[in-house]
Amino acid sequence: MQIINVQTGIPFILNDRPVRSLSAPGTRLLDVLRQEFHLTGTKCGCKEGECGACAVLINGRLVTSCLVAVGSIAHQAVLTIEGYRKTERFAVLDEAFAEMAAVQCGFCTPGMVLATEALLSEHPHPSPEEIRQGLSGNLCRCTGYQALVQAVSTAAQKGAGLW
Amino acid sequence: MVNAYVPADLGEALRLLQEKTVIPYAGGTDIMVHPQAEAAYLFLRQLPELNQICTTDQYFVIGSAVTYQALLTQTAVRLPDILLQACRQVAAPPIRNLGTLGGNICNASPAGDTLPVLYALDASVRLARLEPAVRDCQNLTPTIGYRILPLRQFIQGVRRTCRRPEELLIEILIPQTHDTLTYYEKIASRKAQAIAKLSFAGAASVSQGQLQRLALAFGSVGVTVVRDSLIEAKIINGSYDPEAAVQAYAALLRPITDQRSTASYRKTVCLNLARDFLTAVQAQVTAGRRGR
Repeated sequence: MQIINVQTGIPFILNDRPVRSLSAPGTRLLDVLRQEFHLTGTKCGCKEGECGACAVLINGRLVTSCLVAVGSIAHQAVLTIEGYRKTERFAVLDEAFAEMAAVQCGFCTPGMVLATEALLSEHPHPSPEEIRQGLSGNLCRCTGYQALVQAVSTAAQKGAGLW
Repeated sequence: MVNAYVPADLGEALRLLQEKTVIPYAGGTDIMVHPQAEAAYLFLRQLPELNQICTTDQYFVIGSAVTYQALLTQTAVRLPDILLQACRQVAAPPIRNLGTLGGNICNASPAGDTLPVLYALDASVRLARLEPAVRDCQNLTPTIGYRILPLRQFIQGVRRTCRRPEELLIEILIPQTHDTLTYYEKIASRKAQAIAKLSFAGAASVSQGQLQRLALAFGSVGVTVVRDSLIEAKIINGSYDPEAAVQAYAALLRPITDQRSTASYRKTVCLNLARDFLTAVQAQVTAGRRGR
């Protein structure tokens, strides 16, 4: 059994590097990322899992970081947009989102990009319906979604073989 | 300074529940909407005992910390389609990756998406605790005591269950029935990320024109899921045709108006769904009789 508190800290892997959070175990991972590690690419929209702006990958799975207590992820691997942007896959998404005008205000974009990564990892050639399902936990108030669906579809084609 | 605990096995988790005041934390999706940074959480997701899915002669057995996503993607056990249908309609992928079946039950929201299905399938829950008698005998391996309760009995009201503080819900038991017809509808303001205005689960088993088993369960229209054995018995023994049954449910259901929907909308749609389901059941019975 492991006892964790603000003195022991909570060890986990953040963007491929071992780190230790000194926040209370019940703190939202979202707040730990933004305030303790100053990774502000993860956005705070609703704090109730509705909007997806705070989505990150934990062990490759898409989760809303506002609904994750940092104490629950000891020794697990968290990937945020800052870590993901160093990858070849990100470059493909970056270009496809720009090309299809899938970014307007940009607030939902980090979550959308990570949702796309999770989707393409599971379905490298998704149908439009699968794309809508894959992005269904992420709200965008600018684009009307069609541009996003096209961006994901374009990325799946241009990045074929990467996922 | 508050501690949180990451037990390595079920025994450790149960010992902590007995000795300390802790809050069991499985998926966290309900707890973290109103998080307490200083709460003494007992993190359960990593426990192997709570992550199994298997079958016995009688039951599908689902560990309480199995996530919706795990239920949807596992291939070891052929779970009832109606349960998977409900899981697919829970929130969206990021929450389905976190939320657990045990959490949906222990949170005991009248709008829990899987609850009408679990009621309709006659699910039970298995609770575990360390037996108090051997708690202090250090040389003895502590024994774990269990009790099994029907879900209908376990959930007692809005966010209220009869779990004792030292108990943990470890498994959900679903009888392996052979339903010939199942029916699930969740009505919400959008397809994803929405809490149900109402939901309905129906299950029936028809054999050679005989209705053997019938269950109708309504969600979000009462303090708990609503299921009525008396009405079901009268449909099975032929005292009620579908319309008479709908009238009986009309007298039974007393939904409220809140921010998500109105009482009259909820009631009307519930009755329409019940009628639709019962008509399909009757068609199966009639077809079975003709085929005899």
